[in-house]
Amino acid sequence: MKLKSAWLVLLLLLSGVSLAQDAAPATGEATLLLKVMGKGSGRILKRAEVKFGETVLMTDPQGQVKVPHGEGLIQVSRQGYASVFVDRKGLAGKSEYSVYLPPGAVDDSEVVITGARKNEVSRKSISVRETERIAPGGDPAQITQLLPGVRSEPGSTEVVIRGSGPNDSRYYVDDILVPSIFHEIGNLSIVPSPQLDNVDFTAGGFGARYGDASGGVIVLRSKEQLPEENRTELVVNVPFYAGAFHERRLSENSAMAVSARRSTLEAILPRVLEAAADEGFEATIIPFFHDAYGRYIWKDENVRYRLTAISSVDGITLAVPSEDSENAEGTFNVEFRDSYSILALEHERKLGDAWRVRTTPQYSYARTKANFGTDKVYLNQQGVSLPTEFTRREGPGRSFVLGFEPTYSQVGIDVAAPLPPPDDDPYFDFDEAPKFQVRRDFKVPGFAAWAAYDIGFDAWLVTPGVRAFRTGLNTETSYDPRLQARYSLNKEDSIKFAVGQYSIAPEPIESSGEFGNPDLNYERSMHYILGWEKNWSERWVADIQGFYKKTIRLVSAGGSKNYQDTGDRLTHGLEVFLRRNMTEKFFGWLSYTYSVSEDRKSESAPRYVSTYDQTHILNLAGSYRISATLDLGLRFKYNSGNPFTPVRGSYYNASFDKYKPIYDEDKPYSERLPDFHALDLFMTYDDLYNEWKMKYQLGVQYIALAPRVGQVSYNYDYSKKEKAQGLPPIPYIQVSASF
Amino acid sequence: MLKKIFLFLSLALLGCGGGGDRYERIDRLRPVLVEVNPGPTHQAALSDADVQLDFHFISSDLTRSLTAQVVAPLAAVSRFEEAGVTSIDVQDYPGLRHFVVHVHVKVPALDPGPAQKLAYALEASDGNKTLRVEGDFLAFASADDPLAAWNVKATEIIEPTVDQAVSLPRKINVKADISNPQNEAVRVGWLVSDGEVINRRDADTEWEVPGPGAYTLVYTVRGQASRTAAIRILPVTVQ
Repeated sequence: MKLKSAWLVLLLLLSGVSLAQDAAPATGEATLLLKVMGKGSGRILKRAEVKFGETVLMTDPQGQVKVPHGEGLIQVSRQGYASVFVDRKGLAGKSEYSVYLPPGAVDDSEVVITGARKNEVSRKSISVRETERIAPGGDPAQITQLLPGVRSEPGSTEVVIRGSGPNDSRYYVDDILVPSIFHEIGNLSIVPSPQLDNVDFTAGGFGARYGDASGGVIVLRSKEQLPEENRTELVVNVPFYAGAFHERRLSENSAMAVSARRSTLEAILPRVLEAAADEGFEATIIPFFHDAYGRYIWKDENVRYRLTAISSVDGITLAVPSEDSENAEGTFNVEFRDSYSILALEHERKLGDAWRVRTTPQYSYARTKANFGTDKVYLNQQGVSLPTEFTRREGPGRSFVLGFEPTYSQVGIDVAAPLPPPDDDPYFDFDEAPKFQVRRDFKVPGFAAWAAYDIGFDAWLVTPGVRAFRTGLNTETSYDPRLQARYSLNKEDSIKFAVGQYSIAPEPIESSGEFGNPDLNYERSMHYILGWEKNWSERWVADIQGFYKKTIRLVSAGGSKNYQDTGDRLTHGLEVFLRRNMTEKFFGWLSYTYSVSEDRKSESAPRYVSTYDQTHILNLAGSYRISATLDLGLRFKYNSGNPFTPVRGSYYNASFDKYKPIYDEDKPYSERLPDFHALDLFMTYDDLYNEWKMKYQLGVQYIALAPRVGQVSYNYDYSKKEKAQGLPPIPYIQVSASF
Repeated sequence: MLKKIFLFLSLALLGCGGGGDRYERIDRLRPVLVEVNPGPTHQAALSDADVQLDFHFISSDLTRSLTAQVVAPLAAVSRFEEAGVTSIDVQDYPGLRHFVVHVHVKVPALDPGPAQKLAYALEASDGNKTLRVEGDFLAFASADDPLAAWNVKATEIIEPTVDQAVSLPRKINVKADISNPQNEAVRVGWLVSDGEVINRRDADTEWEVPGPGAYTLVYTVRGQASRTAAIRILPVTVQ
């Protein structure tokens, strides 16, 4: 009965609107076709309210409505936009007229909550809307540098997560494993931000889906919805890069996007350095990058295909005056180029009511070329993989996941370089040692399988899981059990914990029979996490986590086969994350991490501070929107100085005519650089035109509030220690046009 | 990992050589070379051999003297049966004082086989600072070892020439001729009493002097495989 009434009301409403729309032509007067769009984007606004006199009309799905000519004002309005008044008298004689609604006043009442409550205890999901407002350069992937548990170097995009090195973490674009998600310069991720929906960051204790990682997992998640309109964006970032992005709706079910970007530093820097050479600065450093991205998506209710192509190149050429130069210019030259290309086809399909399957066959090719002086190290890797995951939804809070991933890689190594002698020869010198030249190819098959079960009951959500994997680099199969659990004390408070084993294979060069130690086993890390999550209000959220990690079979350089896995590492700490959920007006967070990370080379050896130890990390980030088109933001970063091993003396090696440092091996990493801090200030201004807009982003990064030290350096005989100044404040201007 | 290494390397390279210190400019007591006499063939016999090691030091302080003593190498066991400082020679040049510490060592008989590296170490002090010098040289059990004939000692500075008065401009060509019949990889090094050498590892390079005056130019060369070495010192007057 109720349903019938509802239908009746709906029909009446529809007919009312229809009558209203048809009312004007019925009079026989000439009509005006009014088209309503968003100012700055040209986006069609359907269901916009068009009011004249007592008549109220709504725009159709094309944003159009017919209005009779006459006198008086037409008021055009829509939620989220400022109203526009049009004088009908001025429209006399016109048959069509477009109205562009500017954005409305900043609304502080609507709170945007992002990231559904997941059972991965240390996972944080940040939407692109949020990252655009506070991430360095506005790039989504850079947001991880501001999250708890993350140590990032100033000016570098590599991250150390809870005491684990950058290579111990894994980076994904959806289900595609990529070698890195950042470019080294320009605060830029390899996927254009208009294609991204959110960034998932898990600092540890992650589920069984991810493996061969003992640090964290960062996933760039692409938009799943098709774009409503075509869009083009051109961007120039001074001094770093320029790029173009275009996305296009192809049909009701399909769309495509392409992007290309290239650094501009290689064009600008030589001139700057030429001028600097006159001032006595003799080094030449030219970093560069370029990338290309393409995506085609087709989907309906039951099936989705996403074809993704990613190509990325990063590099640096460097020439510095050097005591060890072998060229006429007296410089030591380094050329480094890191590139990869990936092609993947994601296919997701419903299998009946409960099951879904998603499979993403992918091919990747990666090449690293490093020339330093007269030596070189080239690494090639190409591989295919087929991650496939079945998901069964059994009801609210219950689902079962079963996945597998066969992989096959070919790795090629081409090296012409001196290798250290197997015994500890104190007079060994890289510059003088005979060259070791070898070229080898080897094949690395691998397989992984995982299963996890979300079990929700009462106030509990428990996820036991297991992951098995084998890389082909050694004979061991690793079985990693994992468990995540969350208990909701009430609507505002949750207790959560995770425990699990995380194994990671040694790198090919470490376990190679020719270059390293083929007897290396998987590094194995146990993660223990206990946390408390508190929703103080709709706007304020807190997340506090304690963590303890023990990594055994830690691979380090040394021993008779160049690498050994006799060491271990202990890391423990506490993270506090206080977040103000986003409203249009204000958004930000405060994150603090206290951690201790210690290594030892064997069970009987003493512990010492790990190279990745960083006692205190504090990040404050916030964005305040003054008006619909003007945004101000700041980031403040403070962290303990990086540890280093002090030099306690030196000797002159007469065989090589150079000084050699004598490190204080009894106290490795026992000194620290001074604490680091940096303040970034930035603003964004949108200059709106009818169907396009200019976006200006201006900022200064690395503002120092006191003298800052980047590293410790020594003179040629190590008799003088100098604290080299850190990165100077770097201003930037980014201008983009989108239409 | 590789990326990290190279970025670190780049930063480390940029960080080296700070403090306005230039390696080639001698502004304090510095060890510069160790010569082995009589040369690489001296241990041909399978019996104890007497060897003289000449440790060359150069100081910018023309008033100081030098003391030295043989010490144990840092990470190698000394295999010398006897080792001791026999004498220290001193000669002054414009702006520099050259010390040669003569050390006598007795090398024990070697087992037949390939050449062996013998490590040495010396500590020297001018009363202000103690310097440590380490290195190694080759000992041959057989004179037939081809490497035993390698020698780069015949080397001369050919530009500027002895007693040549050099006129400004500030950049002076400096050039050395190395007799290197085995085409052995060598490492050369220029040192100066003042000014800057454009590439001190190039046998043919330029020396930028601060102005007219009397200077000293030092040239060293080492055979990387043979461990033979030579030093030449040349006073230069710039008008």
